[in-house]
Amino acid sequence: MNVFGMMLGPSRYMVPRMASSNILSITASRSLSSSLVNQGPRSDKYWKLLKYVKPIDKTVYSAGEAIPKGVRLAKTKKMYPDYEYEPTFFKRQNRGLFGGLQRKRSKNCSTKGFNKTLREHLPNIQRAKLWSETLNKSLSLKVSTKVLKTITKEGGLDSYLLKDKPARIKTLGVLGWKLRYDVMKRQEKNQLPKTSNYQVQYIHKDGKQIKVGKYKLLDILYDYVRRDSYYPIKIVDFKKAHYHLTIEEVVEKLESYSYDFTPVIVNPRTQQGVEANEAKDARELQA
Amino acid sequence: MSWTHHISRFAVNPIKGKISATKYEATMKRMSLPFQGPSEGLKVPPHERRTQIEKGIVTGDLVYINEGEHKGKVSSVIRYLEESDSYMLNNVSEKTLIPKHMWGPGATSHVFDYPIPIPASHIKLAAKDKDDSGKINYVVADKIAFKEKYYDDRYHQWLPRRFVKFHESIEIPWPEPNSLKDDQYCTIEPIALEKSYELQTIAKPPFPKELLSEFRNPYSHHKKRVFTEVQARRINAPNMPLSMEQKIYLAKQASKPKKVLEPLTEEMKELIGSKMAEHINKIDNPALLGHLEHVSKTKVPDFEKTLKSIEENQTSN
Repeated sequence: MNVFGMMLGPSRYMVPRMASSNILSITASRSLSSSLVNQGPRSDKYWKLLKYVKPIDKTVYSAGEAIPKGVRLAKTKKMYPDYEYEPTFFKRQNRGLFGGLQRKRSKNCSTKGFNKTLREHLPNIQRAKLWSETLNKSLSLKVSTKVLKTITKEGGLDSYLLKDKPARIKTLGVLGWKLRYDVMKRQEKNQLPKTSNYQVQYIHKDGKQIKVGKYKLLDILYDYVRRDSYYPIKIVDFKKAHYHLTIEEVVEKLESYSYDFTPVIVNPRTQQGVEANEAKDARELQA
Repeated sequence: MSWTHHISRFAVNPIKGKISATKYEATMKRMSLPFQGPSEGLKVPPHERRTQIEKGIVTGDLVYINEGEHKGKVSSVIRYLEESDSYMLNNVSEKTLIPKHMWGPGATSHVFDYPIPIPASHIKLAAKDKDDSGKINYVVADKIAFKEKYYDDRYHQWLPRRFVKFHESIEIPWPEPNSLKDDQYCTIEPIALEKSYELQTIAKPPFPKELLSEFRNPYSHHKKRVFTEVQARRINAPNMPLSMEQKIYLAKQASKPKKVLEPLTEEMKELIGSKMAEHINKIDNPALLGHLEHVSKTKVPDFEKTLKSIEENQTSN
């Protein structure tokens, strides 16, 4: 508490102990009752126009299915999940953290003839560098001052992005939604075991901890597929047939070829040994 | 006003009608240097332009000049200028100076006879006619009338027959087109037009089946009506991973035992029945009783569903 707070403190919290007249007591009781009435159902704190939001296509398409009319084939893979609350107007809100703030409109009124002209009110947007703890880098973003305040209140960008409440998800915007995905994916990766020698990329259903990525596994798979076929298979054709697979599917394919995973996975014995050695080193360093 | 557009603001634009066409032409002629050639006059807007055949006068036609400096001359057309709607005629030319880099093949002097473009309105179509006695007559058509079309072998296209308007017994045939000389690399016409394959019967297809794949691409992605593996995977967006709170909630839900519905016992049925009877016996109003009777007959789909699920549970047990 600062000096001004100390000085102002008593006057702020001062309450008349006894009402000097009846009138004062009545007004006091009224104000109390009205405040109690207003404590009913809380209205939403955010306000965002969702009238112009278009519904997104949530159907999961599979190979061999008939292409419905009006569905456009994508040239590249979708990198982010679709955002349900993407507005179709004032599109700059898709490129920053606007917190649901949108353009509002009103009228300018002349003093003499009361002539009215349309005008707009834009949200207060600033460019700010915000530090992301999980991504371990600062992001230069266009942020509304309201969102900056919320971020300080939440205690950082990541906790702002990761909140689950529907109001937060509606006001995140497209950019916020994408950042949320990035942060969550990075958190998933950070949870995987890691030592000075290796980083586990993927843990299979049966508990195999795989040290290498998808593309290294595909290189291994290529040899098996090539040996399996009678005709020679070019690397280009192999890529076309296999590069869209997930790492889980690649591992399953390798299992079907009865591949010995020992060079690729973490050996539980060696893992224990490495941990012990690291602990030893740490103790020596401390000593 | 921006400094980049001030030129277009002050420049003379005859199409806008700020200056008369003749005045514009005169100024253009005065300002152009001699080697720049004669001014071609006003440009015809693109939608008003016509081809030679639509006009009725083509290169090689005889024409009569009925107006202007060269009035009375009879000459043949060298070229038609669509942009200015004017003709370049044989022997109607002007001596102009031409810089060396613009000389044609075989030129030896800066002075060059260059044909003057003569507007189409100054020209009338003419034709030669020989009498039996060998006397040459010239016919000048004030206006031209077109009639039924025929295939002209010389032009390789369908052309209308040309007549003098109001004297439609006089036909003026189209002139001989400029014959192009074959280059050494040219394919000879009969070889280019030779048909190596011809349809014999309708029982057989017009060309071998293997040829079809060369005409049309059977692997075109426009023809495929079903998703391929890659297309389906590309169009499906990834899912947002679950947050910690969501995971905890789902785990709690999974750990809970599954709700099993069981039928009411006799005691419960009796209790409910007695309570209902107690309330209904209190009612005196026949209208309200009738209303309750009506309400009791309505079917509640959710209630039926629960009854069904109870039956299923009993049968499974």
